[in-house]
Amino acid sequence: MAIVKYTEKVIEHFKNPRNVGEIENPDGAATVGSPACGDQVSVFLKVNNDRIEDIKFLSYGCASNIATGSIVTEMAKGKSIEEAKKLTWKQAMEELGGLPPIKFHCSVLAVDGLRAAIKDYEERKLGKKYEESVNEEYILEKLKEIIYPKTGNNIVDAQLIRYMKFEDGKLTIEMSFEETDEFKQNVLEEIKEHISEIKEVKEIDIKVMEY
Amino acid sequence: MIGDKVYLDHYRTTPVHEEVYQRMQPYFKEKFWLPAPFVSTGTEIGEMIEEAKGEILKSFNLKRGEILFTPGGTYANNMVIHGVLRDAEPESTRIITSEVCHISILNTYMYYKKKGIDVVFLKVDNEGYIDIEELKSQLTPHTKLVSITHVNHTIGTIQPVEEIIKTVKEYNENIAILLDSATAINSIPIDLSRLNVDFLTASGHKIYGPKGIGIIVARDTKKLKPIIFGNVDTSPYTPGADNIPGIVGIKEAIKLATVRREEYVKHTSELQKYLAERMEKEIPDIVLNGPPVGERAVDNINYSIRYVEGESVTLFLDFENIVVATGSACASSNLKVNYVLSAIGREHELAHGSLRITLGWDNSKDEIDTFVETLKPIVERLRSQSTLTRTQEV
Repeated sequence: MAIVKYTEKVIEHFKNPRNVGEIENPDGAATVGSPACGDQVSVFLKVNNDRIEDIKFLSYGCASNIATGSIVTEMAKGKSIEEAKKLTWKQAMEELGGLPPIKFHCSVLAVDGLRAAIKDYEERKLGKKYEESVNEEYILEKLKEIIYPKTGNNIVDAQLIRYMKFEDGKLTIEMSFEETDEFKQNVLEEIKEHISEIKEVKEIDIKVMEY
Repeated sequence: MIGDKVYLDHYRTTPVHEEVYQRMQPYFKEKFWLPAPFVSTGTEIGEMIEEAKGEILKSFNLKRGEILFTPGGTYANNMVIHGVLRDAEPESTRIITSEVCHISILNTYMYYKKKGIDVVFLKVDNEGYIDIEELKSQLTPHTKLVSITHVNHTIGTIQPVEEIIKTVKEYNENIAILLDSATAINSIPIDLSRLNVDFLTASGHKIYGPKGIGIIVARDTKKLKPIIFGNVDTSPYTPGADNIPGIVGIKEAIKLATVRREEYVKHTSELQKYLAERMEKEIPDIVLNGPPVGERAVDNINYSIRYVEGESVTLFLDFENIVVATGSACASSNLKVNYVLSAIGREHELAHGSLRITLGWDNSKDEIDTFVETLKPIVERLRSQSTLTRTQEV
């Protein structure tokens, strides 16, 4: 194992996280992740004139999770909703001076939380309706949210998925891992967690090939 | 204190004892030789190794037997398992271990499972104990090996070794037993004249000896086949140049552990009791993992601290120069939650916030105070910013 270390900036944000807490009667709020699988993050928004006037977060997570929550909320504060939507996890990570690949998945959650809180704001306050048709393309985008801890890119780009089919509510995925891949279990659990959020998927069958 | 650290992670590794360190010194530069016949340099080292083997056998109260020196505890477990199974026919071979045994045993067993051998992982109860009745029911004429970790490395469960051995040997004397005693040597007397194990393994760095050296204490080597090949100096099982300073080091460490064991138990058990009392009284919502104090290993405590994540806690402690371990998936190198905690039925969330505190010679009551006083505000603070405590309030 290579030496895994946090940057000074990560440590600084972990020690003194900005914007920690809750907002009463928020204009948008969301909790992402699940304690059953690991980390959890809540994000609360106060929006005024289409700008994020205030933002707070809570974290049940490790140092990288807390530090990313801190930096993302700092970056989002004062931005317009459209600007905030464009914030990426990559930007947040660069702002923190980088993270070890094994920690990417813990830190993505904060950005997911911000996006989910904005979506909640748009649905509740603006009456927007997000009706996405759930097809293979949509599922692939969902799977792209999962980071492969070994390489730090997502599991689709890391070419772990060899085949995918979605038909009549049944999702079939074929994956390949090296026999010695220690992250196999972790990736499979992440897939199940992410797919369980898509209610159109009634059944999931993951076939694993080892080479 | 070790340097500026309050060190509470002795199951991970221990510092080399001064006496051990001194005894090792001559073998790096002055007496750097390897064993060889006839020539004085070689025979001096050869005699030293023989003497070390004799000392180690004596520490385990074994009159006859073989000591094999390995590059560590993991290697020792691997060498026994591979050595016993080398020529085994998969269709007529069963091997047994438990779900909570050391990973060097479990991963080697997994390898043989893939090779088609019938592998049994015994379940454990919620304190980590093996069920003797279940063990009994899993013994078959094909069973070749039973491997047990003596003291659990995560939660300090002391397996009922005597009963396990009796059960296995009464069923069939020829079944080999591997007892991994790496975390037991410091606190538990092991009398191999009474315990009929075929192979006992241990590691130098867990008992105030050096890293890079382990041992297999073999009653005899009949059940073992060599799996490493090369130039044989001392034993056909361990070819190649011997780690001479390491051999001196582990011999001294075992000797010291044996002599000081009673005092060690008194020292660590007092600290353990004190720590458990303070933790349970002063930190709300914590759950003890493993058997109660008084029944578990005297140098191990493991608590799950609800609503917080373990890596965050260990990092904050690290900022204050306190070293402990966590079973959190976030802090592991493969993002898996600690398998021992899963095996005793702790849900992911509890394992996520688990802390393993393992005591040693260098610890004092003052250090336990420092630890608890430092931990309290860290837990309070992380809980105040956690999603979980809020959800609870609603």
